[in-house]
Amino acid sequence: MDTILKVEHLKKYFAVNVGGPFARHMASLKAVDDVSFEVGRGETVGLVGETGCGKTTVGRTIVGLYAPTAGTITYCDENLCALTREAMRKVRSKLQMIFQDPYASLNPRMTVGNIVEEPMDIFSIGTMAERRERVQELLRTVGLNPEHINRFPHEFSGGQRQRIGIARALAMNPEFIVADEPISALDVSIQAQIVNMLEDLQQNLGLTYLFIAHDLAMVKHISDRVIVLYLGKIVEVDESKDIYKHPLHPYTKALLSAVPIPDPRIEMQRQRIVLKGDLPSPVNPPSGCHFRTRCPIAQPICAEQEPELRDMGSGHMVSCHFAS
Amino acid sequence: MDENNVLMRIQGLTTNFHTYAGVVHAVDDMTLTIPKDSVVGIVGESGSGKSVTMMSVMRLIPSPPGRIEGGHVWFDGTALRMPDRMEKDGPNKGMVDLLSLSAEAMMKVRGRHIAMIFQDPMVSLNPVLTIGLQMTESMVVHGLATNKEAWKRAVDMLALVGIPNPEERMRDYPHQYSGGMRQRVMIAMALSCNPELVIADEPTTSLDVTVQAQILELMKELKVKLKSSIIIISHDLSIVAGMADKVVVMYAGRVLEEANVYDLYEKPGHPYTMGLMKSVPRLDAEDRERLVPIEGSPPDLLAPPIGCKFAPRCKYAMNICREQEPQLVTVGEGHRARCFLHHPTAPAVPGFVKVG
Repeated sequence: MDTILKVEHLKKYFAVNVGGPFARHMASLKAVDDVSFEVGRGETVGLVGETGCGKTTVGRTIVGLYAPTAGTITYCDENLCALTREAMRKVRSKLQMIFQDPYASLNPRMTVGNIVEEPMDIFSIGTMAERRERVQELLRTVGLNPEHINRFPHEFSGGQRQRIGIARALAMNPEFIVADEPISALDVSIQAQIVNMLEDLQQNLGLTYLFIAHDLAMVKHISDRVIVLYLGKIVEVDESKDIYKHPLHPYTKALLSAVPIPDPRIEMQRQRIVLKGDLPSPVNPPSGCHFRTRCPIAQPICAEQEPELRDMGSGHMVSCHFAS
Repeated sequence: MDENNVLMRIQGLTTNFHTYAGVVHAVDDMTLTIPKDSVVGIVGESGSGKSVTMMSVMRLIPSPPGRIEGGHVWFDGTALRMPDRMEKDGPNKGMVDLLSLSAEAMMKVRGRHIAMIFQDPMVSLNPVLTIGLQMTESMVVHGLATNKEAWKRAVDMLALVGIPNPEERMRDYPHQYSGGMRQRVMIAMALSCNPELVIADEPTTSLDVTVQAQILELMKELKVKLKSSIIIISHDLSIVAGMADKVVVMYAGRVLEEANVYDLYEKPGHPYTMGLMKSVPRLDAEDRERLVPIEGSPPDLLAPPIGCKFAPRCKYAMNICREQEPQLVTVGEGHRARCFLHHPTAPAVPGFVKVG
């Protein structure tokens, strides 16, 4: 498979004030700390983890909404971090993003037509009439009535708004789409509609997805490969069908066992691995392995030495001293 | 069901919201029985009326625009210790209608007999009061304990829900707690007066999956330890699966199906319930199967469709479904469904157990 996106040693630190409201004492919040992975053309890669694990930051850095602190992002043999603004602008038309909250990501003062047309406006594509026609075609593609082109976002339901967001992302014929929790703000019965549509679009348009979500069952369903993040670091990477059967990292195991299954016979007698406590602060992460403070099998070595991301064969990567 | 075993019976509850655009029928003719010492799950999408039902029970509907237009909420009168308000005879003998109580009497019920755990622990705790003060308040107000006793009991409750160093943490403010911890505090607070009924409104929706697992395990543990009935409201069928004895599926302000937990998941009696189950991927699924979504979107409650409210989205809708609203019919022991497919003359549908 040819690689479309290569992320190497990506770091993104944010400066935060930890001195309280009246004192100034800056520290760095390590949102993403040395993350490397590749995405093949036509593949769907799922990025999972809890709030604050850095999954959204990875996505936003890839599309250029954040400048990385260190590391490189190579997209189709071009290093995005070294591009000039103008060159980046051109590449970005092929790299689009679908946002989490369809209520916040559409401008309430613009009509649907203008929202979907805006990317084409920016890149001066076609005449006005051609752009309008393309907008109508896009609306049809995402299952909306093209006659609603002059309506405003508030006239649509959550699921329909997410469709508008997807139409906007498709306007420039992108190759790569970062979907940041595209369904978590939607009702259960609407989620499946959007997921099926994303799958159809991938087939018809040859898209590559980076699918960011915290819902493991949905990620397993849509992705070919899954990357599990914890406190800004990758803990495990595997094919999605294998990671459920043979998780190696204790965090992945806990994450999988935390997902409820809609079957009372299974659910009532399931033995859960329940993690103790909460996510530590990314401003001051634990030494060694970041997960050791909540890990059920932590040993002294975990505090001293940070585990490397090791290849366990056939692309299954894990970062744990005790994984085998 | 044994008549003496009923803790609460909602009968024909109807709650409307009078807005400028018209009347929103948020809950329409809701009927539900909560047995003593049981866990009942209420499942539905946003706008299905599950929260409004519980707010009506608590008499916390903002009015105007909301108004409880009809129905009764019968609650065990012996537990309430209101002998003079009890029904003398009839099917609701010994029960008190919460909707008939004065605002003052209702205040004695809230927190003491019915407690609520809200969805978002970030906004439901007062940020300027210490956890200790908020924990002890309800016990002192209800006259169950002096300040000192209440403090001691609050410390015990915090320890029970798994907060480390409860003594010290009593003096902390909500912002010093994480999201999961705050939800534990909410649970401790709800249980502090030993209420007969605890209503948990989406208790884990705003939490991460690992913290959600912690809270669900905690609630399961407490269910065994304490003698309260629990109503757990959720939009997620899988959360309810592991906890509830009985599950109620709501849609557009109505109960569409009600069954014990095993029946509901194994032989759903309503196309909406079937649709919900097929539209979520399962973590334990072997292959990647395509999801089967429920097409369309929930109805506008300002102008709900005539007939069955689910008919416009239903794959099996017949002509009658668009003309007349079906009644809840009994399809098994304690299993009721609101669907015409159970009618003897209705066509058979694969995967649908028809009784009629």
